[in-house]
Amino acid sequence: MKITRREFLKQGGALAGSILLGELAPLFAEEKPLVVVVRAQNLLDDTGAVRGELITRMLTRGICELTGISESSKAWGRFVSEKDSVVINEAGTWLPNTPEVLLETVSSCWSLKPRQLKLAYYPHQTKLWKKSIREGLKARGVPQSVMDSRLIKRIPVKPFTTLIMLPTLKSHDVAGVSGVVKHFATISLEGPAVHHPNGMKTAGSVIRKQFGHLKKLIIVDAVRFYQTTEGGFYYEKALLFGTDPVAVDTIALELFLKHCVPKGRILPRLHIESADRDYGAGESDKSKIEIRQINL
Amino acid sequence: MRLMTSRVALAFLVVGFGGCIQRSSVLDDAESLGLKLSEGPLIFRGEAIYDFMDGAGELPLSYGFCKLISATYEKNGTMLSVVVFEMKNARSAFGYYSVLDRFPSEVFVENSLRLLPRREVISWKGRWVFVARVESGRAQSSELLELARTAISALSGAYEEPPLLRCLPEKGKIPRTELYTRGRFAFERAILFLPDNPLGVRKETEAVSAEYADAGKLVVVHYRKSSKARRAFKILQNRGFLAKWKGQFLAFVLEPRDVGRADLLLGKVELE
Repeated sequence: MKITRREFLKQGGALAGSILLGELAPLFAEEKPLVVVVRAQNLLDDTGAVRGELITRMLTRGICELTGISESSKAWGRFVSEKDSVVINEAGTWLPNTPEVLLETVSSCWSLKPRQLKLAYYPHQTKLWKKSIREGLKARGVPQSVMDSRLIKRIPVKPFTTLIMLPTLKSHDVAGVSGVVKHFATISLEGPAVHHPNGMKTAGSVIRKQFGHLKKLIIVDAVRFYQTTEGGFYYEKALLFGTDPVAVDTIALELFLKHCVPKGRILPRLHIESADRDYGAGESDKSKIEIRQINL
Repeated sequence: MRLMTSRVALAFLVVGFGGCIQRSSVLDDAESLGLKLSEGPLIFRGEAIYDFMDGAGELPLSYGFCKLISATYEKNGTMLSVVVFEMKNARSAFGYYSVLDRFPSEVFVENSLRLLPRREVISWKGRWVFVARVESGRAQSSELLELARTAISALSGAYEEPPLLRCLPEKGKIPRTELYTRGRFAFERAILFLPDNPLGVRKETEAVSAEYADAGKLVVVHYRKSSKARRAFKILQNRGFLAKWKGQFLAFVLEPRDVGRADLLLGKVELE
């Protein structure tokens, strides 16, 4: 019977493992990155508005399942502690986050009293969006000073310890579909433009190089995807959780393509597979990813 | 509810365009119609377009984008955004317009005016591409169309399509499926994406395509150098494409519905 590396290390073989792991590697089953998909079919009320209380439950279930810790604050504590400097990065302009997802994430982190907490947002967000986020923060007792539009493209050089990224998925002119891996290129030091050619094949090159030192929590805001063949939203009513950006993107893209279409003829998997194969940034082979589905 | 007239929208859009869009007394009309400028007008030139539309800016840049102006208006809770792109020339304007999103249920109203799902209208004329969209609230399609028609009438220039389109045979061509691309981004986005650009499509490379009912999608590419066209032809041949090459021109059929008919179609293409 094979055991995983994690189980082996838990059983006290850490020292021996660290010495022997190279030779013994073939004996161990590969540990699969975990992606948790939490869905709430009744997420929207009769008017089409998002039920905020369900978002809170989805976040709690997702983070607990991902960490294997049943208590919510301790589960969040895996990523956010009093010693941590945390930056939360929102989804950007083409398909902004569902405000409740962003606000509840910020609120959960704030309650753990990290040394520093920042919400890095895009300066070109609409006034309406900024207003709704400011008001939402105020209602949750979080100071508006956490919002910072100057941090985009500067996260790697700031003294953060944790990056919590909340991308959405939308069809995209140069990547086919914009999701997690593409979003890393967007917030990289050089910005996305240098990665635009060739279907953004090099987008994943920044993940280890510029963000490798950070604890990463990826929460894909899949409440809605954009766009369907008729140009509208598809309400997936889901959140995806993971720590492997490439694995989360792989699963999110698969969900996206069931109801939505990439922009033009760009191959949307190209840059995700390249992030794995060429840059070792994570796992893009679905058969090597553990997926847990939760329906609320 | 009358949302607004296009004259009102253009009152603001005229700013920064040096009179290319004819100004009227519309500035005075705005208040009387109850319209309120919510955001803008904003002007973006050259690569500053990334600040307006992120990576999507690659597409207009590929065509020689010059500048754009955008504004958002509000009336009784309805938000409407208007954008006018100024392109290098009429060919570029047609090209950018032609590769903007296509939808099965979109309606060609007249000339270049397309009414898209989600209450959006797009059009082009001369060097200009016009886009208006209801962002939120209620507005009728008829109001959007009225806005677009008046805007188009205010745009200078004519409907001058790219000469390369003449390479596409008329017989069997599905109307209004013609695309024109210039540069690599537009080509990959709208016609064919092959990783690592083996066809050597560069900034100056032009291409046109159209759908043919029985044959598939016909593509004609014009390279600067015949050696580039020949090299691309050989690559396509090796990959099993139906293709034809002459001088600086290359033609091929994508996703042929009937190989025999696709071959016949290719035979009718005059590459010059």
